[in-house]
Amino acid sequence: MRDFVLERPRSISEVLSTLQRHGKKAIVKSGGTDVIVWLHKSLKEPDYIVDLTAVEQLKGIIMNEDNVEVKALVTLSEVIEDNSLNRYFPALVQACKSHSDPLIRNRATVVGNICSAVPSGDMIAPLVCYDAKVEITGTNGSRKVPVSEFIIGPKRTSLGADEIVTGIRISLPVVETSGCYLKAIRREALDIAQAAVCCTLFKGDNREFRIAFCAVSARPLRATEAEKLLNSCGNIDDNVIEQAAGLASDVVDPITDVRASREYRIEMIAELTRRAISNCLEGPVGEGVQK
Amino acid sequence: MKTIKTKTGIGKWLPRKYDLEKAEGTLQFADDLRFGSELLHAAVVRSTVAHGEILKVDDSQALKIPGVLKVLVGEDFPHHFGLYLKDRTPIAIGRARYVGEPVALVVAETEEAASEAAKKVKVTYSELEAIFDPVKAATNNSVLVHPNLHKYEHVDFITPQPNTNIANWFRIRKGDTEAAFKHAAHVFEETITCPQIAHGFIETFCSICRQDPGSGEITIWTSAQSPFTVRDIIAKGINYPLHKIRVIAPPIGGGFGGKAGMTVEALCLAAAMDEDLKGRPVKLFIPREEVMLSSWVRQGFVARIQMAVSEDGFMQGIRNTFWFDTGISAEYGANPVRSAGYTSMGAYNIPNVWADCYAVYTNKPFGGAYRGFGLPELMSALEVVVDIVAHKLEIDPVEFRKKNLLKKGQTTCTGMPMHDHALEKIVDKVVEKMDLHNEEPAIRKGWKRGKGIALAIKAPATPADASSSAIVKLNGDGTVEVLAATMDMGQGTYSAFAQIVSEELGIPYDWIKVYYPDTQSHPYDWQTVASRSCWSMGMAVKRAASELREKLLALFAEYWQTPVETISIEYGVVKCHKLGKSERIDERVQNGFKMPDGILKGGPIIGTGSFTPPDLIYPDPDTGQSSKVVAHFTLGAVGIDMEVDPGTGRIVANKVCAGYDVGKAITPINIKGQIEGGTVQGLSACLMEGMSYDERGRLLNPDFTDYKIATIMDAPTEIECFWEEVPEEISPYGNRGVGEHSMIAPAPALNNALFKATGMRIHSYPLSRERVYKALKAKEKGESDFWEWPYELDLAYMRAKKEW
Ligand SMILES: Cc1cc2nc3c(=O)[nH]c(=O)nc-3n(C[C@H](O)[C@H](O)[C@H](O)COP(=O)(O)OP(=O)(O)OC[C@H]3O[C@@H](n4cnc5c(N)ncnc54)[C@H](O)[C@@H]3O)c2cc1C
Repeated sequence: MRDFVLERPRSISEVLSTLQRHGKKAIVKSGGTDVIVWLHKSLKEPDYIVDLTAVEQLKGIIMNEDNVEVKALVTLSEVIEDNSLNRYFPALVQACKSHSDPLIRNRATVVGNICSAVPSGDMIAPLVCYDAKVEITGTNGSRKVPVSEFIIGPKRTSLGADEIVTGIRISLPVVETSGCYLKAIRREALDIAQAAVCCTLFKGDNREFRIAFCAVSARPLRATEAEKLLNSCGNIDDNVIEQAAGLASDVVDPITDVRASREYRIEMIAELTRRAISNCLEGPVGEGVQK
Repeated sequence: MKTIKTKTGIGKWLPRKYDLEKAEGTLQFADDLRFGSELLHAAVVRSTVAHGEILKVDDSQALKIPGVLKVLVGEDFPHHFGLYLKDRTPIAIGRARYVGEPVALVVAETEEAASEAAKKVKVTYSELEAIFDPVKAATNNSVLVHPNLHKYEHVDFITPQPNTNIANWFRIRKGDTEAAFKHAAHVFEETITCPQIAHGFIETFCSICRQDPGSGEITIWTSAQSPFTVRDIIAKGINYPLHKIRVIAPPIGGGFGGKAGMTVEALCLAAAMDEDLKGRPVKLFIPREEVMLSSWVRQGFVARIQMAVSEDGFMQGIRNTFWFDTGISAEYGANPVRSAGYTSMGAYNIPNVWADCYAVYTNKPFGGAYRGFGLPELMSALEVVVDIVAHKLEIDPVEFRKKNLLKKGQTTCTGMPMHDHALEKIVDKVVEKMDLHNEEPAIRKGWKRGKGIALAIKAPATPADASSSAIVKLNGDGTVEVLAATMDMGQGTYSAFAQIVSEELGIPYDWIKVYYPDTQSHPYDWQTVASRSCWSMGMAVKRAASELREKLLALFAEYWQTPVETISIEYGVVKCHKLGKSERIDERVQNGFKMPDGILKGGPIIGTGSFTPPDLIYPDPDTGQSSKVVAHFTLGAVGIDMEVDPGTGRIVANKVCAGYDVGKAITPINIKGQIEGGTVQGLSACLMEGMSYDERGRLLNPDFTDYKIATIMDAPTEIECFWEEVPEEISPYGNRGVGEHSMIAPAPALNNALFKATGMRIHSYPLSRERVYKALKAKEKGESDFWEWPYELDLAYMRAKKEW
């Protein structure tokens, strides 16, 4: 590991001025569960590490009337322990539980996961399904983008060098929901997804399925054709589920690597989609806010 | 005669030695030792090609980094090392043979400077054709990994074949196999493969070496299982006086065979002995990512097994060809080949045996000792073949095994008569505890459930003369110090030694301390391997403790003027019931007893003991026959109840039952620990472990991001273990080894259970989810057997889409 200078700003404005000062020579660190590994393996050799963990403004889960803010320093463990997130966003909580192990989850942040933007990031698909907005602040002001636009390719985001993500914001569902996150892995803990499927069902009058994937495409991907089919069918029987699973696996475009072959990943997308749809139909039930 | 009383002798369940220090985090491992600012750090430059002539090592940029003192290349330390075959140089000389082989060593004032500089060393190669497939390497000599094989020194019982890639060819020729196959009612042939796997110990390698510039004496602090063998190999490798080398082994964080022999010590020593650096201690710490590239892993394995069976279901003959993929060095790996070879019959009575076992060089990281030493691989194949044969003959697999069991007096494949054992009883117990014949419905919806069994057998595969010795010292307060150069790496041997001493001396367990080895203070022990320590070192410790006891009793007898038979040691107190005397052990055991006649007698009391196996005979090199090739065999059986999710290929073990004949349980807590741990390790190897390479020989999973080992979440829901005690004749208390054995049978038992569940036979380990899924898909298409030749996977990888 090469030497670097550790910067520990205490406010967002300090973070931004620090980043402006160091430009491309700096990288931001939250939980560090990616950054420290990169440093150790010399995959990145920054001169400065800008550690966000002392910035109070970036902490906490804030429930507003019709949305929730998950600030940048919120860890996966905090998500798992939060009652409201469990009530409204069960698929996100399941995805957090499928991530690594309790020790890593105490450090790793949801925002760090999407900023790393690896196709196997477990937070991406649930945030896509719940249509989360990424809140970005930079020297030139703030902006919001959906997760699917935030991630523009493997390990690439639309973030500028002088910008940081301050948090993500998700609208609270107004109807009952159910959701699940199913992950194909090589062992029962501490594994990166070979493939994963997130499925959410917004119940209400206009029943709506949303399905998104993990580790099978270069950018965040939704199964729009499968969703259309499910949303247009009054009665979802095994036959429809089978067709939806087929449509889902048609759109993915995975690679072969040491974790799994392309073929297995495609098959797992079909299988997990099948299971995820059934799970959503059966529950577990997520609540909607009372209006 | 011994008259002692203790509550903490052999067979008792006691808290283990050093567990507290480990839990508190105060135990100091090699990396925790401090040497001050004198200390230099080394970092390794590794080959980027699988096979190539080294044209140039350009260190000019590296030397510009502040604090960098020197960049060494292979020619700077041109010594060959090896336990059985000296085919290894610490740094490649002239030719690099695998991706990751050390080609240069950077030495600097700081660890950071050394590793930064290592990245700046530029090496140019002229690439040569490489070979990765062991069967091809063994049968086609177009690429020779070691063209100088004929020049390497080796021990007598290893038979390298010059001008080939065969580093050892071990043979068994027992009976008339040809006739057995000709006349047999049924003949079968099966092939099974295992990939290379890694030990996955938690503590990586770490060595610190220093040479005194005045005396030339070398001190090595190192994470090693076998300090004396480190000393021997280095002395022979650099042709240096044994007494000028001192090896200190602090506690190690796991070994599993991976820290046996000599691993990275010579590489570190290359720097410490350099003329420009000499006198300063040099530290070589191997980061996790480089562990599998720095020393041996478990060898890859390809087994072709042919079996001849009579009309009435008796095994008549077996013909084995084993190709062990030993990578670029067989210095240690030559011997597991022999170990598998002389256990070619498994746990069965087979009158006619023919075996050809090859250690084959390939351009990969190298193979060597790993818990089980050739037997997990062998039995992962053989026990599946036995199951296949039973099913094809429509004989119950348990019946088939019992019918052919190798019983007392029947001969093994080397012609050695089998000793008494409780295997049949163990098999019956496993069957009963698992309700093995009862096919039960799956617990999980949509899953398929099956139960299977496999047997385990293994002997210590040591040289015939592997010896142990120990010193037991009595302190002036009645406490005891034991110097026994076994490494307690978690298996708990020091607890066993303390219980042995307590058993012999009548001194409580808590008063007895066993120290980590240092070749300067400890007497000789060969190695902590082969599940030999409680047996071989156990013998030495027992002898040392009894000698001490006899000395102490004799002194008290004279002191009290009473026959020695009237004296006893009870819970640490010396007593003579006849005279009504009772005295604590005090400074008299240091400074002597003032005897009634006024003369001072005794002085510091120590006991010494040593042990060499008395009657082992190397097998004949042409036939593998010998009247006693090994000390003893430990036998056992494992039953597994598992189920599989056909939709994903995931396997869950509901229950495992494992029983072994341990002869005598000295420390039951350790036996339970060894059985449970070995079971999980065996299942881990079975289900998920394997080193994968791309088509250029680059290891794709060098660290734990992608080299997966079972976690507690992957362990079976229940492990029931038990043991039987049919005593061993030459043994301290009748005990036999049990450390490695629990790793042998879980994989084949699970594989056999998978067949019961699905009707599919998988011939290639690991039974990863992806592979099981594919196999079950093939089953739907009518296939009954599934294999994926490991080296074809590398080629598949070449064609695959790898990046977006
Ligand atoms: C043992 C282990 C197991 C793992 N298992 C999983 C797993 O199962 N699934 C999975 O998806 N991942 C896994 N990971 C990867 C990692 O834990 C996650 O990606 C994690 O969520 C990253 O969060 P972090 O806070 O640690 O990010 P950091 O390492 O702090 O940062 C990650 C990236 O995001 C950037 N960044 C962080 N915060 C901000 C911000 N506020 N604004 C702008 N940029 C920012 C950093 O510059 C960096 O590029 C694992 C990692 C380890 C070490």
